[in-house]
Amino acid sequence: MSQQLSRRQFGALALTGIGTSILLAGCGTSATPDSGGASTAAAGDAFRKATVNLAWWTNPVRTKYTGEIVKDYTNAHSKITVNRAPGEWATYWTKLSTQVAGHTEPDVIQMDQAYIAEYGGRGALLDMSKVGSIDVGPLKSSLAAGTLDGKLYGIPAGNTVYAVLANKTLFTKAGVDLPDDKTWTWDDYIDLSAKLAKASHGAFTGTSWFGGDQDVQIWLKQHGEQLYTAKGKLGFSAKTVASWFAMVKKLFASGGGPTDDQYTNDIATSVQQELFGTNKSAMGWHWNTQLTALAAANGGDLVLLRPPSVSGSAKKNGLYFKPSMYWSVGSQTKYPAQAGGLIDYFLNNVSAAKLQLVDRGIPTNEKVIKAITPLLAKTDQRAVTYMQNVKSEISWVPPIPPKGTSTVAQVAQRHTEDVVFGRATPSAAASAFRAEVQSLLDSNS
Amino acid sequence: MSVFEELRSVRSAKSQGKRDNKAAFFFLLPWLLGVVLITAGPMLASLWLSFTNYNLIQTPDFIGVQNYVRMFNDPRLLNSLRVTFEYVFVSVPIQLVVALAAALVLDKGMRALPFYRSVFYLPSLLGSSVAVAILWRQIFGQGGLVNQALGLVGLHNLPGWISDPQFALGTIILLNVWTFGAPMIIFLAGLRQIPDMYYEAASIDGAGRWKRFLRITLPMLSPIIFFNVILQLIGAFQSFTQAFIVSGGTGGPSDSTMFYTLYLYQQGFNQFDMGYASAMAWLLFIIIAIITAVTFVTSKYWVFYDN
Repeated sequence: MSQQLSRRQFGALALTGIGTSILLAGCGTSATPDSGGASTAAAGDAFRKATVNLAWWTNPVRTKYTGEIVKDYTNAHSKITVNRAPGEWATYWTKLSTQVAGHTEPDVIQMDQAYIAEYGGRGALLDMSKVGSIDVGPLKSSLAAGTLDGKLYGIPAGNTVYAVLANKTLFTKAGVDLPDDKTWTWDDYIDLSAKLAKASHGAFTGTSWFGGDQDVQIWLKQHGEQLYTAKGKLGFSAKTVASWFAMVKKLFASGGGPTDDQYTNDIATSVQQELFGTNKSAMGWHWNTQLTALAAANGGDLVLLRPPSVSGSAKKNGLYFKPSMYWSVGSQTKYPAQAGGLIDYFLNNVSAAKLQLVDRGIPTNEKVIKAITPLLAKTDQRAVTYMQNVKSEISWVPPIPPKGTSTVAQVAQRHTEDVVFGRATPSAAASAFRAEVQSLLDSNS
Repeated sequence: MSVFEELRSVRSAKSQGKRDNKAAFFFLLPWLLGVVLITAGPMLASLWLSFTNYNLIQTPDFIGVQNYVRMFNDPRLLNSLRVTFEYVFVSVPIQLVVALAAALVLDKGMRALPFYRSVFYLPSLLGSSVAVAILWRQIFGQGGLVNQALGLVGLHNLPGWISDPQFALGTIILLNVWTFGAPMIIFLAGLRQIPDMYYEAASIDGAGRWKRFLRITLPMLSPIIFFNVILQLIGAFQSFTQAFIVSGGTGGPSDSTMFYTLYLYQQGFNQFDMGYASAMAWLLFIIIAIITAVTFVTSKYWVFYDN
């Protein structure tokens, strides 16, 4: 019979057949958030036979100790197999999005704040409040930062908090005193930067600059605004952003900041190679947990300072705890309870924490912090102390950035470049920034 | 000719012809599978997706021509088109002129010609690779090789060539020009095809070197030039790696190296806006098709076919 079929017919058949199957493969991606049998995710099932796929972006140290933690866990629970899938940050997200589309989503996913709404809001993450195998009691204070529309899409693995890092060694060289970070204003910060640059005779500048979303966020908070509202709408005016860009312009013009092209270079390079990491600036903007990496890079005596504020009051500097990363459960998982069991081990188990230390951020479980603090390097202890010092001053939890805004840091930096290169005035850049963030929200609603 | 005749005579034997067709089909199969699975299928899929709001995760919904309408109101997309056109229409002519010049020099016939040919050709093999793009960062960066060399001759306070929006695109254009080897090889082959007797006759008539180039080399070479123009235009419109690596994936500073393809990639894989990215891909396809068509149509005014 098949002989009767002419070649042309056969070709056409094959073409449509294969073509259609590709179309189906490309499109048949119905993620159903509430499937996955969350109701069966009772604590009792946590150690039942299962294979759990674990994905995380990594560094060499993290790869090693995560492997050890997993080994300890599977030794203790012999029915559980864990497939480890570490990846590089840059390719991690491309891979994850294609995995979700291809129905091979990992069970346990290390998640970032920039993406949690992208994935959670599109039904790719499980509501973890239904996963009984995680003891959320000691983690209560951190849950709000992983909740979107009443659903718990991720539990912070640890927290960081923003800071101005000061290189005391360079301050001493320049003969300049450290500022009082509880009372300093942005003008103080600019003056101090200019003073440092001048006193260094060109050896280093006063401060490097980052200008990402976290920087804009604290400025907005100091003016009673925020990037996004809890409902995922814009929470700021162009006027306030214009004042931000005007401040940035003033800093660059004062000579205390980086030069314009140093700036573009700096934001595209690794922490170790940037101005602050190479002793080319006395101050720099970083998360407190980056202290150890930077101290290793520049060999200086580094101090954590609170960011300056408009009013000169530490309580109003807009600081907040940022989950450095989250643990999430993929909504396609067959084993929510077992996935939860592994996450619980990462979050609450003391011997796991002793291997992990503060590499995934400073843990939120107080018992865990107490257990690991004596084991930490001096610089990490400083980061913990800084966090504990500012804890009483912090009064807010920024809402999870809405869907579509995972690239907002680059948007902020691009408009900063326009300002410092003189391609746009602060107010023009502010309007453009606001319009662009609005369009990010619109195209993803 | 004889081959065709032979084929025809073979085909007349019917039974054998059938077997031959089968064999041909069998040998074509790898190619056919490739075209259907890797090119035609995904293209059809992307055409469909360009009319949806596909976000990689959820089932796509049909949204009509919304994506296409959105493109014309997207200032960053229009900027990326401007950057891409600037890149294409500056780098391709320069690259071809350099390639032709190099080919003319090499055509003179010199010792160690194969060596020089390989040396000039090598960048073409490497030029669009990640390794070279990373090298480019090092060469043109703030404290890079170029600035160090210029520092030796007393020039200081130089910009970081890739971190200043005024110069960043220029360095990528330079990178593309540097890969002149591929068109050069084709030009060389073309130059070999021009019969020496034309030059001899012209010399006898008193034509100088410049005149011989203008009146003989250029017209005789025009089909090859045409071929290279088409090839390089299409390639340049699709460049991605250089801008992606040199700018660290951002298209920065200040969107000055935001190639169209890079913006497309960002929309698809950073914004998860695959529907929009698919629509962008089709716009690029249409643009390249139009520009290729225009080149073809105008070719009859400047391309000279010998026979």
